[in-house]
Amino acid sequence: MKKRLRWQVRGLSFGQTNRHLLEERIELEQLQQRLDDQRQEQAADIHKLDFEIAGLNRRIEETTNRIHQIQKEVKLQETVPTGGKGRMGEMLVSRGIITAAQLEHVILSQKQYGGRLGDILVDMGFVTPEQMIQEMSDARPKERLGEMLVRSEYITQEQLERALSFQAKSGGMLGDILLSLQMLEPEELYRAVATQNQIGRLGEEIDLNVPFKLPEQWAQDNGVIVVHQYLNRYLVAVGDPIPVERYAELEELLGMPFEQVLATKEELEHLFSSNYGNEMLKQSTSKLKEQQPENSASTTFTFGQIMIFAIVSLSIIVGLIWNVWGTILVVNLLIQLFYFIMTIFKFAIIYLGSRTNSQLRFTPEEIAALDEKSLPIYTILVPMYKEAGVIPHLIRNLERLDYPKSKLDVRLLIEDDDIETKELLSSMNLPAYYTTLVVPDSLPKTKPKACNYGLIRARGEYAVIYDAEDQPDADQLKKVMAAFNSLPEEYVCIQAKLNYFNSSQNLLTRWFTQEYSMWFELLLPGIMKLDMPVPLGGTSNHFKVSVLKNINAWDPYNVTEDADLGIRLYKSGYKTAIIDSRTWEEANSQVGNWIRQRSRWIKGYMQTWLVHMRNPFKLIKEIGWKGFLGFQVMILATPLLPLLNPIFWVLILLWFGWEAEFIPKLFPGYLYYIAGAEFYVANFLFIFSNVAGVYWIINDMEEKGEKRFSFSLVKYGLSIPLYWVLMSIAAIKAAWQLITKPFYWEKTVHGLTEMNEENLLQEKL
Amino acid sequence: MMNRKGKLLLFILMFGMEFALGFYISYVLGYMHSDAISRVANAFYVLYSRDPHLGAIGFVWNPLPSLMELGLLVFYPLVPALATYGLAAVLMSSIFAALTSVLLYSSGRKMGIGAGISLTIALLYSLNPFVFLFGANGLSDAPYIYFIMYTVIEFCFWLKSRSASSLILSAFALAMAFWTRYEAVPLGVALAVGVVIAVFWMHRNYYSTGPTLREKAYKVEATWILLLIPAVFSGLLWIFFNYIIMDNPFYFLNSEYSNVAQSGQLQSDQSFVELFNSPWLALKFIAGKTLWYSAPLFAVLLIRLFTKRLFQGGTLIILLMFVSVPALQFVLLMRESSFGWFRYFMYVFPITVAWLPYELSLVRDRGRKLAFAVVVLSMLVTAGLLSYAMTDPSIAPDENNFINMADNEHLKEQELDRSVGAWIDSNMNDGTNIMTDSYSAYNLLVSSDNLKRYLITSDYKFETALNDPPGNDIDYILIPKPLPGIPKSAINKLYPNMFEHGNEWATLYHDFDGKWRLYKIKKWVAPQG
Amino acid sequence: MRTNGIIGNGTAWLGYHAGDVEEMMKLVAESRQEVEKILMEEREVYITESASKTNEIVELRSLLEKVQAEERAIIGGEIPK
Repeated sequence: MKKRLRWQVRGLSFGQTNRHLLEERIELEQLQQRLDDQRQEQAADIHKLDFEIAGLNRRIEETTNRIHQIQKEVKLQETVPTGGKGRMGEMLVSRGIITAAQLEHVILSQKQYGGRLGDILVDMGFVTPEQMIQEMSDARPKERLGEMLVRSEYITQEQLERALSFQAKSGGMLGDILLSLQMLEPEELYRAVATQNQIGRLGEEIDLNVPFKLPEQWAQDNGVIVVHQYLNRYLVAVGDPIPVERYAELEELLGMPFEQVLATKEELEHLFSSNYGNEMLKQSTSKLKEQQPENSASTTFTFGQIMIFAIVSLSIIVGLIWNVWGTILVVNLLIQLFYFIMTIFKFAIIYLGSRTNSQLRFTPEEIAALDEKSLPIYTILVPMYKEAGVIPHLIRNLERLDYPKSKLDVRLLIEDDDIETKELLSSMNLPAYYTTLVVPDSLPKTKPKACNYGLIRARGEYAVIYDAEDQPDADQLKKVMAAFNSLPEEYVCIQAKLNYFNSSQNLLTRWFTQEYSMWFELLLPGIMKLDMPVPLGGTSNHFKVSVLKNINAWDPYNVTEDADLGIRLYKSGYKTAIIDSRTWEEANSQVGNWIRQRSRWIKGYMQTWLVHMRNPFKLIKEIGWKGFLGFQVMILATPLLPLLNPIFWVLILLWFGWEAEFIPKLFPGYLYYIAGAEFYVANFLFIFSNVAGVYWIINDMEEKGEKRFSFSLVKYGLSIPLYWVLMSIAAIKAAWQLITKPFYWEKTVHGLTEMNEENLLQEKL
Repeated sequence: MMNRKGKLLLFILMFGMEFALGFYISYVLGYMHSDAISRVANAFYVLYSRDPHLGAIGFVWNPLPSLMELGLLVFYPLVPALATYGLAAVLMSSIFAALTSVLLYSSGRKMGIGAGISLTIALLYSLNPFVFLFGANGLSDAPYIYFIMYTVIEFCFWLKSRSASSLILSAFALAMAFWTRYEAVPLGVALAVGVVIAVFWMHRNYYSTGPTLREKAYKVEATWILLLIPAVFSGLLWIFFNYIIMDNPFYFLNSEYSNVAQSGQLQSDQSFVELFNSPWLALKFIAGKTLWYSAPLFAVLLIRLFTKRLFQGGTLIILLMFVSVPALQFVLLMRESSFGWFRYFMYVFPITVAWLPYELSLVRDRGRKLAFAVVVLSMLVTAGLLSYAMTDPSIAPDENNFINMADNEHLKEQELDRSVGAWIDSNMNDGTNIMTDSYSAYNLLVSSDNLKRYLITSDYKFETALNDPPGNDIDYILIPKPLPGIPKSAINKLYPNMFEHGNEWATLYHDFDGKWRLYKIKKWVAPQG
Repeated sequence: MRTNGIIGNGTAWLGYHAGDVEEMMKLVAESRQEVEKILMEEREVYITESASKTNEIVELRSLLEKVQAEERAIIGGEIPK
């Protein structure tokens, strides 16, 4: 009975015990990890052995079958298929070195995995290597690809000449040029290239049951993938023949000799995604999270942040209890101060942005003077989801780009469950520089994840993102190259200006156009001029691929990955520039849809702010005071102002409508003047800058002879305050979602406009 | 860099000369135009009255000049003469006069005209004796002229380059002009018509075929919005402020202190009554006054005639802007509410001069030298004409006052007002409550060394105290002699006989030359009625 | 995780009760031992399995060589015919 109430005040210390327990647990986890590793390793080993056993058994069986047939003197009457690859085999059969049955098995194997007939014959033990060398001695010397293609009648001499003249103008590989001109199919070209290099081609019915995988990074870097294991060597598929100096390295990795077979880009793409799909997926979803958890939005609120919010709210509550009006006054003072600083700052930025040198500008002559030969390969990433309808327009818009097609690497990123788009794309027979990538299904299902996935195997030195419905100006890629060439090394990102082609569809799209004009024509150039972090816009941001990969590309957990990336680039000491080239997008034309899209953006800005403000002091150290201020203006004010606005709208209504008595208490003395100046002057200036922004761009285009917009758009700027109301609604929704489902991607439905509307507009003008 | 230094030098030089003259007139001679000193007074009340608040700036005159003086008056405790002698106004006007010189010079340079020509035009304008006087006298004309010249110059840039930024700058300058003087309204109308002309008839070479008529109309609409919205918004805001603070949206137009009310006295002037009743006479009257300033316009027309551009859109635009100034006076005369002062017509001169750099930039090579010669001649003629006008009180009475102090009635009034202030300063305790109407007492209020002693019109308690002075702890009431034709102050209006006969609760305490009277208020007596 | 409260033979207000901690430690240690055991066992199974498979491969290879030699012999033998 005594033991029931023996109070013990001091037990074992929480901290020490927890630490101790944690250590123990970590050890346990490490052990479990080791167990997993061992299992994996052993399974792979066993699999490899099983594979070899199965292969051996099959061959023994085949051989005994053949022996039986010979013994029964059952002669095979079927003729061996004729054609290039059959020739040497037939010769061997006719000379009695091998039997027709042996040849059949060899050809079967070749068809399945690829490789050269001779090598397979040797591997299967039908002929000795010495015999082979003897038989091959009459092989032709290496000739030029073009000549060979003409000789083999893949292309005509005229076609070759045309391709060569392209090459003289734009540089690049002849093969790519031939493909971009669609003069022959990739399979034919690679067949020829393989013959030229005296290596084999990838088989047609490849069955990727390979017991050995190269380490992913090495495979990606070198474009090599194991496709089959023979008894004494591996068959590896390559996009380009492996340079000799890499032979030793590869053999060491494989632990056996190898034979290379050539695969087209599409085949290689397919091999990689089926072989390394999981690794690539993991890389695109969690690389940033693992390598720089401090920059990943996978955690929305950190514990510290929750504590700070709790402390702030608690002190406000305590303050309210202690002194209601005093507390409200202080809070109001802080908010007004915030408004005031943000307003002043925003206008300073806009003023700077209105200078002509705030954007990089190039004349058509300067662009025409670019040497195409110096242009690098350019990757275009087009993430899309259930947008099959806009694909024809997409292709048309991409084809309009003025850039050597042989140097393009267009990667269409579609989701696994988007069957309609998948089917449409596979039926389309796109030119060879298009690659369709199916992003495996996994969470988070976001655009940045798809982009990361597409970037892994991007061939370009530079990359850009376009949405499916985008219409980039034809000279955009060249302008960007001109810009990169003229800018210092630290500029790794160039943002083109976004605007809308369906601006005149309805009032909402008109407002949206005004907002975008303002944002991209004035605000972002001002930010760039001030050398502050630029929150990138969703599309048409051009990157140096190496840097982009280095900083782990996009954050798949952030729903405005673009804005976040802008900040992270700045953090890493890189810079972003705005270029005077536009991409035309489709503005959201339905209010509900618009609110969804906007709430996603606002949520993303909140996410971004929370991520980088986990440690404000560190942020200041990383991006300096100027960058910090710019960060607050762009990333904090953008979502916060629409959240605060409704409160003050209500106050104004109460004051002018009912002269509510509590309001003067909130705005004593100078605060009244500050708030008044903001209300009258700042609101006016915001409206005016909208009007000015849109006038600016229309005027600018008219001077250049382009007629995208009508001046009739300008007057709608005066009604923009109604748009602010919508913005506040979206902001409230966003704040709610940030807490309830932070990674949910509010999908925007595109294709709500008639795509040929811009043509109609042009006719009208 | 040299250019920048040059501009700074020009500014300092002009400012120095203007301020020196202004200082001499207002501080040494002690004269300041009543419009100028009352604007200083308005700013002064905002900062140093019993209830410092922005509303005290008053709602009759456009508030920008007072607002700017307000900034200067922050230093009143250190330099009392800023208010007492109205030096804040002199500073303001001489700063703007100097800025105007620099503006003219640099707009010439930006238009691609040589430094020599640009500087000559700037100096010929700024050193014109008439213009020079307005840089020194502290009136709101100096900032107003600066703003309208800015407006016109940026508008010209727009005509030349069609860049949106010029339009924006022009728009804000026009809004600033409105916050300075109401005369900006007709100029805005003229610019609006100018936009139509420019868009429809001053067609520029486009890469492709020009826009359709419909699109041109949209462009006019858009350009109007951009160019006029700041000014229109300013106007609406001003009406709104009048409404919420004075409970009368058109207080600035029709209150007892407004121009309309003040010009009531004109009804007793026979020559004005004739003008009011005959549009033809009014036109002749206006044309006569305008002609004094018109030489540069004739120069422009002459240049256009000889370069075969007389019938181009530009001619119409400059004519419109020019005519907008006398047109307002015509309208006001027809509505019987303008004094038609000589200086009201002067704005045609800066408008034309602001156009000159653009005009010269359109003429090439040898033609430019000739055109420049014509311009110089016209400017010299104007200088001569205006100098003569100033010496003749029948042409320019206001301006004549500045150079003829001996006959200056206003100077005498001001001296008296100051002496009243000084008497009160030396004979009254700091704690006494003196009620007075600031609309008539501004001169003595700014010269007082303790403004808080006075209960003035803009103070919160004034309305209540006016209806019951004894019940509101008022010790004295100071009132001016009511004069026919001049608007009555609030006190004289409510107690019309008080100045002559006093009141049952007020006994005469002191009389100042029969112009001002100080009444002592009895305490604790219930007011009549 | 239990912190304080009336358990067992006493209550700790500022810290873990020693008994609780002991129990938790014991649990962790037990699972560790178990994992270690599995690790060892599986390794042994693997070694035997892989050894037998390797043997099988060696046998199969020699068998294949034998069969192929036979085939070659037959082909070779046929040529003179």
